[in-house]
Amino acid sequence: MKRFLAIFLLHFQHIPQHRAQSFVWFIQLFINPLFMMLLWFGALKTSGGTTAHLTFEYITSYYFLLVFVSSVTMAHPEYGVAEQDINAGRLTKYLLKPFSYYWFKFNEEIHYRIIQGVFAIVILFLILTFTNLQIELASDALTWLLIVAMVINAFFISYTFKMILGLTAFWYTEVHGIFQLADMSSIVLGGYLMPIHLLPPWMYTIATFTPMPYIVYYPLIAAQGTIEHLDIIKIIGIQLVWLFVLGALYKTMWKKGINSFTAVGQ
Amino acid sequence: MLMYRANFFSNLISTLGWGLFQVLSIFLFTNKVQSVYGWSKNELIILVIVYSIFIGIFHTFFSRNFQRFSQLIDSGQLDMLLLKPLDSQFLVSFWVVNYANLVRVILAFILLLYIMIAWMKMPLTVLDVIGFLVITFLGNCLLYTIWFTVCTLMIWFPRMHNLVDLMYDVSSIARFPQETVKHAAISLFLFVFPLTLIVTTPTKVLVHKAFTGDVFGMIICGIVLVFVSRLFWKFSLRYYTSASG
Repeated sequence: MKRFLAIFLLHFQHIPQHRAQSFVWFIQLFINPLFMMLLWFGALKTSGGTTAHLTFEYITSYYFLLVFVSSVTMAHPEYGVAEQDINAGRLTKYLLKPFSYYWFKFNEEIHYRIIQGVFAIVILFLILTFTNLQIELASDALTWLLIVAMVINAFFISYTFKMILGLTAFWYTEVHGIFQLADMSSIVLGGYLMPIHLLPPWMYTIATFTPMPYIVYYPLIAAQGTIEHLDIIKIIGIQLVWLFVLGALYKTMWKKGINSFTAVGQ
Repeated sequence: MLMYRANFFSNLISTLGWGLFQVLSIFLFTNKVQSVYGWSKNELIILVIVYSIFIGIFHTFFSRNFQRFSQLIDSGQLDMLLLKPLDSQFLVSFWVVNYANLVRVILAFILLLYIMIAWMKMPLTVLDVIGFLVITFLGNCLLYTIWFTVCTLMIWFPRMHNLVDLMYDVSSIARFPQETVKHAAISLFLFVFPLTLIVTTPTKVLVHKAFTGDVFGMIICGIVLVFVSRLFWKFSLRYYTSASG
């Protein structure tokens, strides 16, 4: 634990060094939800505020919370794992360390989630203070306690899923196409494009059988206060099942991949 | 291209996937919504297909070069280009062509013709197509100058290479109707005004909704930004300190 904390703090020192880059990544996260929100506003204004039983408050809170939740839960270790570590051979340096590769990369990733979460809180606070936009939020403490558990699980699901994607570079040198397909799926099925209950029923059913909505959509609607405590607990249970499945898949892929890994130089 | 087949097919999957994704996303949106700020469901679908053609052309010729641009500055290799007897802006802008995106452009163009003629039964004349192609060309020039101006900032901030990634997202604003931003906030509108012109205007030409003002706005914006980006590039080179700076 002491060693883990030392590595955690060591990586934390890099954060001020990359603050400007982190802010640019955050702005990237912000653009699409902002414009989707404006598009929905247009639809609501055109229809007199009755499109698909949605309200301005619902849309505002959905897309603003989307920015916050996704900035904290959506991990992106896959490019580093595939390009720098596996393709360029830097993985060798991790193999000799007294930590598993999974937890080392976790320490590299978690700081970006923290700093982007802070950016999200500050920007959302400024927007809500200086505009007349209003958002709907859950009001009781127990819900927020459960939301914290959901967000932690959501981060680990996203992180493990992306690590698995990164590990595909053990077998394929060109993995960009795979990464991009995964991104597109998570945008549609994870509720990043629009609330998944607005998708066609068949697509909604598919979404519920994937880990995608458990990363952003469910924590988000819980924060909006639209689901009951019991449902939140059920969702946490499903998140844990996904974590178990993805964790087992990661371990299997790592064992097989590391046997076929070769690096030169150093 | 044939030497790096895996790379080509990976790019192809990626570009076709994003093209399909954008069309699908507007289909999903219009599943619940019939019109937005005077844009009907059919017009929104045309807008997003035009965006796919437009951005496909841009990615074919420019975006890879801008990714390379950030590496050139970060590693100090820009020196090598500055010493060549050719214009440096030309060399950083037109070094690589990403052919995989041409497939997206062709498929999107076929889809556009099919949707407009066979599905929506919209009248389409030769003049419309010529007008569309000219405006699309102007739009690409406009987007190029915006990317180029932003990327030039990396001369001062060489570690901000993710500005290029940001530009991919900023460019995606063009797939939304201009009115979306116009009705939101005037400050936001002024900031993204050139971006809202580049896809909306050729689409308006196709659906016969273009005003002379839209076209002139785009031409003026294009000319001004071409000069501004050129001057900015020349100015920034004075501050280029190479990798040792």
